[in-house]
Amino acid sequence: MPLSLEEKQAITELTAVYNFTIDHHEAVAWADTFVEDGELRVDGKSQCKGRQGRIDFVNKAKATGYKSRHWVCNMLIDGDGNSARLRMYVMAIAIVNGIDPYVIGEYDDTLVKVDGQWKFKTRNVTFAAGKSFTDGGLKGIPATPRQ
Amino acid sequence: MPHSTADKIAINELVSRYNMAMDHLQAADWAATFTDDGELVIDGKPIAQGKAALTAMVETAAKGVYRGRHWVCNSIIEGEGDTARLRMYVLSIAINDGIVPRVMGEYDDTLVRQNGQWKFKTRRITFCAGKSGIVK
Repeated sequence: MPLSLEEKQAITELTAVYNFTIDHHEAVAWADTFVEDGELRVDGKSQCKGRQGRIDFVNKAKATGYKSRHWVCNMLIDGDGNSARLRMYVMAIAIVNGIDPYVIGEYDDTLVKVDGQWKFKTRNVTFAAGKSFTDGGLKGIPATPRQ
Repeated sequence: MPHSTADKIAINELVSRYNMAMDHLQAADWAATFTDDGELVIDGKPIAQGKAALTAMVETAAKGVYRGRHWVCNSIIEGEGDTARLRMYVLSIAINDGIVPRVMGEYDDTLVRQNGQWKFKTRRITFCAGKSGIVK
């Protein structure tokens, strides 16, 4: 059975929670947008897997001074029953000092519904321009006040 | 009868397909978001009409230097039955060298439902800043 409108809305809201929690360094809440063994992959490379791995990932990001906002659009959700595929654009904008887009890409994710709640099983992001903050994407972005 | 939420989601998904197909230079997929006689109008000027012309437009862009991503928001969908009007903002971002906003504008489109599927009858875009990276 195709996904209902309510399920598509729940997946859209899960994406919003993912973005808010990563941007505000809420490690546990971000980790819990995934299933227990859920994984984040960037350009085909695993960044973190498993709940503790995901919590560590956010805490490490916080320690680097990472300050950013995730902007998403062009959402396409397909699926049925308890599994879904989500495709969407993402642009990450550094807000260390000013507003500096530093990476742009596309997600192609797998989600599953567990105990009535949608969670990411795998988030796969492929970048089209710029670099992830884990790969030096924030280098060169001004860290001192602009005139 | 006013549009259902399902109709509005289907129209927003059509927009996602339009943007992804254009940005990946998938000419046939992009042209398929329009009706057979569908038309693209920029700043009041007809740019391409009909499947062959729409496909050719993207094929020409693919031979050039266009590399971009279309960002949209503020979708307002009105109408009833099998016709709809869509207004939304668009920001086109060049990704040839870094991430550079290139052009910003607003769509004011006419859509029709054919065989249960929403398609663009006319996409009318008016730019408010910058210049198109696809058409001269």
